Amino acid sequence: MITLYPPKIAKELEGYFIFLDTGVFITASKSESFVRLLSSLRSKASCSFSTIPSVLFEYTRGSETLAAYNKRAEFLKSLVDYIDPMKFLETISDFNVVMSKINENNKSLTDFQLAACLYNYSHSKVALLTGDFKAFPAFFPRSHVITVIQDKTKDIRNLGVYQFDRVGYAQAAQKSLTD
Amino acid sequence: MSDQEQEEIIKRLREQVVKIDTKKPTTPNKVEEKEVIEKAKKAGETIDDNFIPSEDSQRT
Repeated sequence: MITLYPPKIAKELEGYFIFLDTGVFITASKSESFVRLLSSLRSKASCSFSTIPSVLFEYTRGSETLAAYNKRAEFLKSLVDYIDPMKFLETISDFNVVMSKINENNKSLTDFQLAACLYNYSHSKVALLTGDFKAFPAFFPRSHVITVIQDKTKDIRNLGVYQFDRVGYAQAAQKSLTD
Repeated sequence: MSDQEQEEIIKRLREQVVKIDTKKPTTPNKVEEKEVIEKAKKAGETIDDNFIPSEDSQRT
């Protein structure tokens, strides 16, 4: 069907390393035009895609057979360049403190880990593509919105591109120190 | 069921599951768009068309 996106998205995300959340894989499984957009970001804008093990778990959750599990895992593997093992978590204790306070209502470990990836790699061109518009605090501003119309059902899915704002994070960290 | 039989079952299952190695790239840039679309379609067949991929609905 159709995928709508800002006309300059490829230029603005050129060379970015983009983490993909569970909803991206589910949406891509239901929309050929969205897969084409992701493919084009990779080939024409030199974007790389990554995800984390808990997204693999969420995306394959509900697979009723081994074959179904493998179909989902194969697709996830074909879309990402790398699955980040997240061995850096113990080195970002400041981030744990800030998120434990500012994002206390979001109990999803996957969301926390994806946010941690953006923080950990924030000196590089890194972004997160997710369907969850309420998961992250204000120091993860949304730069782009992509609207996908699902092939069969014609249902509309919105996905956002999020980045990390170091200044906003420092202000939140400062507040953690002073409160 | 003996320990050996248990281990054999686990081994067979592991052999049949798609391998994910976080130490290496998965199938980087070399995968053709056509192939990714094909895999997406196959994966999509295993997911209910009415499933809502909203994080709010998945994560309670």
